[in-house]
Amino acid sequence: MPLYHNDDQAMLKDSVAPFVAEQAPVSHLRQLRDSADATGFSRDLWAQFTEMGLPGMLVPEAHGGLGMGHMEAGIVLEEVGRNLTPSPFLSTSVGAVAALAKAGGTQAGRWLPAIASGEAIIALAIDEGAKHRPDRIATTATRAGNGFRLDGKKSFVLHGHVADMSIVAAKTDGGITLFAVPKDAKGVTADPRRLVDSSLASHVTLDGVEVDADAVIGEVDAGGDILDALLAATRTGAAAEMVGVGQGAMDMTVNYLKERKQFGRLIGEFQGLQHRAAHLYGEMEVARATVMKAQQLLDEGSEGAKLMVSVAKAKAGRAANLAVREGVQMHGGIGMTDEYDIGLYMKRDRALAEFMGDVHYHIDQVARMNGY
Amino acid sequence: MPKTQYVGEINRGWDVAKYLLGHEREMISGGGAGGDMVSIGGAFAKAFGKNAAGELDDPILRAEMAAFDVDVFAYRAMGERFMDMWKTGRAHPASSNMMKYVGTELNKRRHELVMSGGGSEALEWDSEETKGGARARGWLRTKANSIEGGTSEVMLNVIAKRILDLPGA
Repeated sequence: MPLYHNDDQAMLKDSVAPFVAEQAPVSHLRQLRDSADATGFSRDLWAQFTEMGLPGMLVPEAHGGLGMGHMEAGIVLEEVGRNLTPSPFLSTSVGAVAALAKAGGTQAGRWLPAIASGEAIIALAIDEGAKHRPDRIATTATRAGNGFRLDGKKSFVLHGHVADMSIVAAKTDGGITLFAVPKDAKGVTADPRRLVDSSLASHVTLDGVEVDADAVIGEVDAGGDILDALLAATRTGAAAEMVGVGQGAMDMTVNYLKERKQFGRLIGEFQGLQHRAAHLYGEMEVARATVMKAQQLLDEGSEGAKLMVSVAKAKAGRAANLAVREGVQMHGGIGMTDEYDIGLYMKRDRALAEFMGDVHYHIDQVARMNGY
Repeated sequence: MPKTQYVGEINRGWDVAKYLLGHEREMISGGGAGGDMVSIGGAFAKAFGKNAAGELDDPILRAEMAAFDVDVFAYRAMGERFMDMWKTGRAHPASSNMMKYVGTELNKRRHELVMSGGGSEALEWDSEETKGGARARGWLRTKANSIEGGTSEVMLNVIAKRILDLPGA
């Protein structure tokens, strides 16, 4: 498969890009932020996403979705990133769908159609501390009665306070098991925190939460593979969103270089800035190619996907971070003001970079996967 | 010179020259992908030995090599996308300048790491064990990569002017 969008994918981009830019530009984020919105996203906008079939893009057709791939989901995420759109798309429609579709069974049948119809918002309760360490999950699931009892603390759970269901990764006797924990389960407390990018992420406490045996996603002790599928999908999606954030910041900055005059000259004439902008262009192009490669390998079910996913999360993290830092610096003093959007790009980039493993985590993973 | 011995059209020589330069730039940028060396950390891990956690036993060098590996795997994906787009006429005509810039800078970084990884052995200039100082000679040779076929600074000028459309470049 060539590493560019085919005709169908180009058409998808042509319909999604203007839709997101018109319905949810950066002013939409500002409006939610300035009204101290307590949900973390607009349900009206999610209804519009649903009209376009977007929440169920990755849901298999048998469960009422479109059965598309990560390349297509990435097209949506890039526009979400470019417009800094607050949305449950990444957690619900990418991460949760990847896990449920991989696992199949009762929970897939229960939740996948609800995701496709736009009714269900799903949160991913994986992290347990300030850093992403999925190999050190301490939350426990112990057998109790007909089901399990969950105890532990989760952090950085996006949409955790409003989600209809949370996918909880817990330790069982012989490995990791994933559970579908419904919103009203007794013993679950979600404490939402406002983050630097105005999003809401919860600290979730599981205190003796009792769930039935059929709350297990997949098989008991066999959640490792399902968790891997969830992580690969979410990381690749976050990388695609970062490409959008970085590209949005770069485009805004390059335009500014063509407008802003200093000492009677457009600042874009200065070679010092030209070279930095040109260097950034190269980094963004490489990041975009890398993310597409990871999407393609995931869609093909290739063994090489895992390595490329970490490469993509790390590379997109580095490139987008450069884009937002250069963006603020090249905007000069106004780059520090809230009036200009460039600072909002820096904030979103920081949150996305941390989500599901930061640059350092994934560089380390690349070393491990290459035997050192 | 006989009248017939010109290439292309009269007064359009720069088109031909740019085409040839584009090819030269692509050739030189190929070094960025690293040829047979799949992973630089993987290649050096044996020589360095590993700690109890199975990591290359020099934590800062390991980190630099891993960060470099990320950039190399990424650049290979870029090379694949560039060729796919180039062959089908989708690539920006000036994008070979970006490939050349990124690829040659990457190759210079690779050889700096090869020298760090090789330590004092890699400094030997004509010993049999080092195949006549192959690493040291190779390292020095790469310094020309970002000069020959147009310097990195010229590549950045071209990207600024022809791709980003910045003024006065």
